[in-house]
Amino acid sequence: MNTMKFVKGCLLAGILASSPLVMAEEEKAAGSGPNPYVDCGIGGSLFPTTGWAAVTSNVIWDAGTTALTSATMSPETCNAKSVETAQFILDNYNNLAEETAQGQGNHLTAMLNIMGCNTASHSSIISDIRSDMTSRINQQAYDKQDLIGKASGFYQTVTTAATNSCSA
Amino acid sequence: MFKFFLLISLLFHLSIAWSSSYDEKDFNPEILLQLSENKTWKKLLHYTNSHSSSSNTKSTITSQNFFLDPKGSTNSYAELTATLKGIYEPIDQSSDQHPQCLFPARYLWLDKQLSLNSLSSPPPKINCEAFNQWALNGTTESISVIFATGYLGNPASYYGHTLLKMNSSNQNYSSNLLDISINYGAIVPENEDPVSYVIKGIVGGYDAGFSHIKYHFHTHNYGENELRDLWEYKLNLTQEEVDFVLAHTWEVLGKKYTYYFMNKNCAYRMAELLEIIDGVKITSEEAPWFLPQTVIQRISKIDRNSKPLLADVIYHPSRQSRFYEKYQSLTSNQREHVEKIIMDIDFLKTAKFSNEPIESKHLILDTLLDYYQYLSVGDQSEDSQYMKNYKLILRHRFTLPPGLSKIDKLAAQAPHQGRSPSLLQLSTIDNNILGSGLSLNIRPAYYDSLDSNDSHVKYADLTMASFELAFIDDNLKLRNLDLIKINSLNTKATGLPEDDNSAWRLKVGVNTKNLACKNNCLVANIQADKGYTFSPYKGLLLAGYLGGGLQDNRTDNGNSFAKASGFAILDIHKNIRSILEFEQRHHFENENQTTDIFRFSTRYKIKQNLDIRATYHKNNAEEVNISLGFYW
Repeated sequence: MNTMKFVKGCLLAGILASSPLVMAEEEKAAGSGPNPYVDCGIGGSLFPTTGWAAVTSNVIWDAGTTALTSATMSPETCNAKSVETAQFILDNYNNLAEETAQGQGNHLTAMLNIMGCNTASHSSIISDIRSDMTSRINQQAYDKQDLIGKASGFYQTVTTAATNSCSA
Repeated sequence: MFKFFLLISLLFHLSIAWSSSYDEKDFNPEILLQLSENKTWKKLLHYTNSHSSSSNTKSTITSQNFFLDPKGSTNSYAELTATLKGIYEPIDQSSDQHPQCLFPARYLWLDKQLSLNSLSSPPPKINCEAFNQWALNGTTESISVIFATGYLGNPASYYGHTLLKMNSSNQNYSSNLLDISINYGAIVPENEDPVSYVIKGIVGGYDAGFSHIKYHFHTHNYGENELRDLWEYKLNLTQEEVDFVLAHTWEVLGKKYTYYFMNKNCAYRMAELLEIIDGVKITSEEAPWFLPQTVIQRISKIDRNSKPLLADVIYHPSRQSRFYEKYQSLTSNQREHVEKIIMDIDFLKTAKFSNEPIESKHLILDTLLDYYQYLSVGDQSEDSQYMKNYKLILRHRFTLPPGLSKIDKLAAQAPHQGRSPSLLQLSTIDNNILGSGLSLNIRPAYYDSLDSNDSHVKYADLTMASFELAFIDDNLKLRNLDLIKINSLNTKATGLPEDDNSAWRLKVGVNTKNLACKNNCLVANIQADKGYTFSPYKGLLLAGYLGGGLQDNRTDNGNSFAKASGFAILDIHKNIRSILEFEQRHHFENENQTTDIFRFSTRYKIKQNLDIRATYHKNNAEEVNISLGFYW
């Protein structure tokens, strides 16, 4: 099963590498760093549309190993923390966006904890994220972005805001 | 630095050289035999009674790699001695494959029983990297049982679900979203058809097992996707007990069991993990069914050393429940604003909205964010109108200063406080055609419109495999068998668009033709209705339905009928509830024939698990029942 995951991850990374996301990546602001959504093959949510039987089976044998599999693909970009952060953002994007607007929340705290940010720095990082998000969300391009595009943008915002305070 | 690692490496290998020899003579066979019969050892091996085994016991785990001895699945002594030898094995290439690392709970227990590390030849010290990493390096300080409330989107989830959560004290995991959660479920092939799914699920046609994932996966999946509330039951355990459960959980991860939906299900297996702790007894091995609610109810009643096992109950409301919480907190003026924004998003730009205090705008917009997310369940595509409106609301929220909404928390009743899920009912029968008699009704689970409360869905019905035996005129007969009976309604609906009071009903079963029938009365049927409910004030619910049914033609009424029905439910007192029901059926294949059914019933809750009901029922004949119900 893990082999299949790896193969799927590679295929997904290949597809994504030829997608408009790469263009977005090339055009990103200087210094915003590599993007795990492009470089580590995080292309799908942990919550795909599942059949009704799968919902109840409640067995996720290998969810969570995506990060480990992907992390082998590009050591510079795909360290465990960056991939885990990127996946967390993808899976909880709406909660994170709402909490950013509100200025605090459990999902924001969890994300900053994954990134190894010390607690004292959380409020200033969140303030910076909020400021950047306010700008992003008012751009027309935001309305056209799919979930991965939004998560990717949020990841860039977060890593920029956290550059000096976190270990991810 | 290099010298330091050299020294560490040398000491590590020396410790192996000093300690890695296993000698049978160090252990008294009689003591080992006694230990192999110890109930905790058998729990660690998941032994259960089995007539197919010469030892009359057999492990419920079917993965051969769970055992170190080829006979380990049935021979507890062989497995114990093999485990002991394994513990003393020298380290090979991968320490994570060492028996100490594969079976850390067995090692903990055997060390405690035999004081292995105090012997002249102690076992080698192994660094179990994978286990330590998984266990967050010993930072797990407590364990919670998570109860996910029922989900009508899937029959197998009607009765809820049970998880375990390992609560870490690690600063980096201070948000419980990053804690490890343990799940148990059947391994269902993709695209399995519903019939196979039901049959295999009941008769043991699927493998099953434990899996693990960060808790935020479940808060998202249950709370956001399926709109199910999560109740966290934090347990009062010592650190030693926490470590023991954690270690044993590691041992069974990925191991295969056989899945039985009715009794050897998620609730049973989760409870088993906790039962390796002395004094914790939750399961009933021979019970024909075992429900998630039973786990938390039994946990709430366990005392050990004069201390309750249950330490705390924490509510994690779903997106839908959070929406209702916020909506309840709105003033009438704020509700009006919410409605106007839903009707016309440009209301956000009006002076009327702009002049609202910041706190009020926070609450209005946060209510709308929850509203649109709740409506977007199942379709989160960017093109959906709900998601477009959601984005506009979110955009507006960013224009305001940050701040949380002040809300009044809804007083939700914790599921463990409700009555027990199963019902046994003894009734008198007084029928003007058939005469007098007695009946026995057994309902394995779960609730009906008279006994449902806030820990279920109030005024709703959810019944599975309920049957009634009647004894009239020296004859014992099956009178009713409801394979499934659901009345789904929402008493918390706000009345906003798409959050209305619509309701539906489904009933599949074999029921008596009518109350006047004496012989060959049972009719197989399936019925479905769609309707609306209305609550003019708290404690009164009115409902109306249109629907139809298919049946076999033993009633001479044809194979199909349409029907109109309705009911009124009134909470007369906190322990007394009445229902008045009416139904008229029009039989398609016999145009002149209609059937009227009328029922009035009152339930008095004598105490938590005991009630009495009086019912008047009219369907061709008139019948009065007095019923005494025991919940267990």
